Amino acid sequence: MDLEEQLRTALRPKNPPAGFASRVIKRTLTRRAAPPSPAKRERALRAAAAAIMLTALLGAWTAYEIAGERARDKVLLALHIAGSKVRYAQTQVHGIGH
Amino acid sequence: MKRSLVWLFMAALALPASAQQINLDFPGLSERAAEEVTVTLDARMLRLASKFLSDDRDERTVRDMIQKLEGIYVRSYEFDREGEYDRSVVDRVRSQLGTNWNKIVNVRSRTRENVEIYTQTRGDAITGLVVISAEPRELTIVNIVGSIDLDRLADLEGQFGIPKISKERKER
Repeated sequence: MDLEEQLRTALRPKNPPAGFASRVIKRTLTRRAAPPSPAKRERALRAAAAAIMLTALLGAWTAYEIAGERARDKVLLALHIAGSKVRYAQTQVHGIGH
Repeated sequence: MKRSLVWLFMAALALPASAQQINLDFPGLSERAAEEVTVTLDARMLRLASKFLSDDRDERTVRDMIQKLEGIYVRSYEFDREGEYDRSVVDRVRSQLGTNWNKIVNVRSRTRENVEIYTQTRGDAITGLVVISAEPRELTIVNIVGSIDLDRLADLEGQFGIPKISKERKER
């Protein structure tokens, strides 16, 4: 048998034996990792909850800081405007007095 | 019955503070203004702001001052041309000031701004302040609710690193 014939024989398509696919699926399902233990699951849930809470807290804190800084700037601006008007009036009144 | 009396008492306490706040809502003025500054700070916002003021001398002074305040309200408008705002706005502010308000300063100037200062007092203490500053191209109204020292307020002007007045320039 020449080389070409040998290759043709070796590479000839061959149907799998009956039930092959179902056996593969069955084996895959039985080999799937066992579900985590309740303790492990609880730990994972707790970690996720803590992460969510931490993110929410950080967000809330950032919002609080931004609002606070804005309020501070507004106070300084408002008092600056009010102060400048009162000072102007005082200067005018004192100017008349002298 | 007892509870209703307590509520009534609390409402009576709250009344003088709320009575000092005036309505600074001027429809249409904002649209005509080229620049605008609006500051609305109620007691809650003032308490929040006080937590963010630093401990340096000037900001400490501000913190002391705002601790006695219930509100700061500022409306300042700058216009491109003279006569762009209706002078009746000023009358509308004046008309809200009851008999317990006194005009303590009235500065009239042909070239500069006209300033009127009104105060509401309880005993010797000033418990409310309204400043109306009217110029041909600018109108500023300030309402401070609560106990305020005018001299200290005037001293604040330009004393500390106030953020640059960020008037909102409008796109035309």
